[in-house]
Amino acid sequence: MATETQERTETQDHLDSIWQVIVHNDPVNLMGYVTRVFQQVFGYSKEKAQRHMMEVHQHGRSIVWTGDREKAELFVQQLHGYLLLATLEKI
Amino acid sequence: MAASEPTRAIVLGNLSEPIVDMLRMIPVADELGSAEAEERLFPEPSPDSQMVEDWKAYVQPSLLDAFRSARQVVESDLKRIQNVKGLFSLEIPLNHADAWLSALNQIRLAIAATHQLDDAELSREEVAGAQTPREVAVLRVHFYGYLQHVILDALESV
Repeated sequence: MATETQERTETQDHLDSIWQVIVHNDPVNLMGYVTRVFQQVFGYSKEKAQRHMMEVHQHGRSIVWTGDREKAELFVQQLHGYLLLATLEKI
Repeated sequence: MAASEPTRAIVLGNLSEPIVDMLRMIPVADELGSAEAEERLFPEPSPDSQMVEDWKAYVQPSLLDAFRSARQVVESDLKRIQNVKGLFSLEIPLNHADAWLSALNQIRLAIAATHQLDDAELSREEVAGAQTPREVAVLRVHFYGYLQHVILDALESV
């Protein structure tokens, strides 16, 4: 029983530290440019980068990465460096 | 305007004077200094006010430096515009392409934010005639977008 409680606590701690990087739609940035940025920042294939770009274009936002806060902040900083509208959110 | 992409540079040839004037405005346009442009070029990373405060203190200065540095690269390339009998040409080294894409994005975002251009103006297929300052702003956004397409196509073909 003690083990189960400990495991649940560890899982909860882990979930608390999961963050999402979200890119929001912007009518100025070109689709080809956004695709290139996703490839450069995340190392995504062209197909995956285009899927995220289309999601941003059609649905207004796309969760482009999920993981720990430090990396999420770094990715958002890089995306801002490419002038994309990006935010990070805790799950 | 004719564009050709040799292996290591993008050459924009047969440029008229008005086109060259628009090119020369990329790194120095007034819109880059507007409050609306600043808000768009430095968006908040989160609704969390503490994170925003930290971001402004620690991240924003490095972004400012990066944006300024990209504009300086573009400015130095623009100084090498050639004039042959009233027709101008510009060579953009491919290793400057990222700086150009950044500077073009900065100016396009700054113009759109400063003049509060709407979705219809930004997605217009054709821009014919530019009489008012707003129409000129729309024309500039589309011209700089065209230039971004040329650079992206050149990078794709490398």
